Amino acid sequence: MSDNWQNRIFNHEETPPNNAWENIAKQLDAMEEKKSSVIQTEVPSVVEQKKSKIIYWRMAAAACITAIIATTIIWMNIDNKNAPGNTHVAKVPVSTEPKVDNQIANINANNKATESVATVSKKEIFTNNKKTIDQTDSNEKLEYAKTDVVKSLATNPALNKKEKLVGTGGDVINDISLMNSPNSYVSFIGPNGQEVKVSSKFSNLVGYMDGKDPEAEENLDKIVSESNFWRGKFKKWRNKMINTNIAPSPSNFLDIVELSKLLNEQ
Amino acid sequence: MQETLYSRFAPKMYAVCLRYCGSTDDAQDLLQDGFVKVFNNLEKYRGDGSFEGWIRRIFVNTSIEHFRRKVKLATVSEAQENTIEDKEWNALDSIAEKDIIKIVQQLSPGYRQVFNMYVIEGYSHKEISEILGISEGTSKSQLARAKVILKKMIETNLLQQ
Repeated sequence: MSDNWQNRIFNHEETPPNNAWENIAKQLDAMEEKKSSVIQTEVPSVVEQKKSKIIYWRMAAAACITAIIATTIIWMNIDNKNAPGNTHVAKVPVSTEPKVDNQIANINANNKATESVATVSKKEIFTNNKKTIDQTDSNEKLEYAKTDVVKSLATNPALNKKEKLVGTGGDVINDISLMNSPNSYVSFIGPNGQEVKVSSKFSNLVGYMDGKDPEAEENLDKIVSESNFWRGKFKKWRNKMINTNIAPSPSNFLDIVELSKLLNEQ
Repeated sequence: MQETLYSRFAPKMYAVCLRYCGSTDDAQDLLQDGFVKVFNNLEKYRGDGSFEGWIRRIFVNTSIEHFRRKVKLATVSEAQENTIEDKEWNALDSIAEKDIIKIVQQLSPGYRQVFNMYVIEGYSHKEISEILGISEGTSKSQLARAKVILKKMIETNLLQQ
């Protein structure tokens, strides 16, 4: 068999029709358009899938974190309740310390006020009393004034003020009996010479601020004794103690605990 | 770049298409399909052989796919093989390429496929049998029949000249 004609046939070239390339180009363009449209329709779905995956993982992570935090809080609460040292601490609300808070608030209010001191202080007392009620209603919310707070009260810089608030007669009014006198007002001359008219209830407080009255405890007792809230509270406790069989003695710790429980009963 | 490639290889590949097809219309379709395949698979060319060889292989495979369903190859006994002597093949040397292609185009699709692959492209019967999905014996018998028919055609062609 001759290779001559085979090689000629193998390498033979024939001019293709003129429109052949145009047809090929059209087909290629059509395929390109089809590809791009497929990509355009597929890409958003891929992005959406990724987004949904990310959202799913974020939700899962958030759920895990929430569960961990909730578990931790529950464990800590259980531990706190089971701790032997904490048992009677939460059950001794019989304290005059909230009253001290009232006093601090009142004194601060009086320090700041130049006019309408009575109104402001009344509001303060009311809100503080309300706070105290809320606090005693819920053992968890109880906050007690610390010793250092009381101490700082005793060493309040207001006590050592050089310019004193004095009555129009020149003396600081320091009559406790005036405290509850209804519809009576006391006029003071302020440090800048201005005249200030306040309820007589706050006369001794002003005196206390001026350092003329060393009997702070007396003032506190007075306010406490006049507090309807504490009066009711003491009455309640008194009735409870009367109607119970427990006779606590200072040497018996369990009796004290029982008494504390009794007083905390709602 | 695509148009450059086309203008560089289209004449040779169109000749291949003509050999494998019975008509110019089929050859044009084949040319179009072949080049589309080439352009879509350019990144698969690894540079192992010649680029022209790679393109030619694509065109041969495309032509095979194109006619696979049409062609039903019948097994012929091996006794019919190599019935054409070399001197008869040598007669083709004096015939122009276009005329040879025309003669080949007159073969039935099955004969044409095997003849082109074995005689022109240089595939072995084993390779042809694997590519076309036939037995080696079938490939040989198809070639033998093709040769017989071609002999007659060449004689006729020479007589006409």
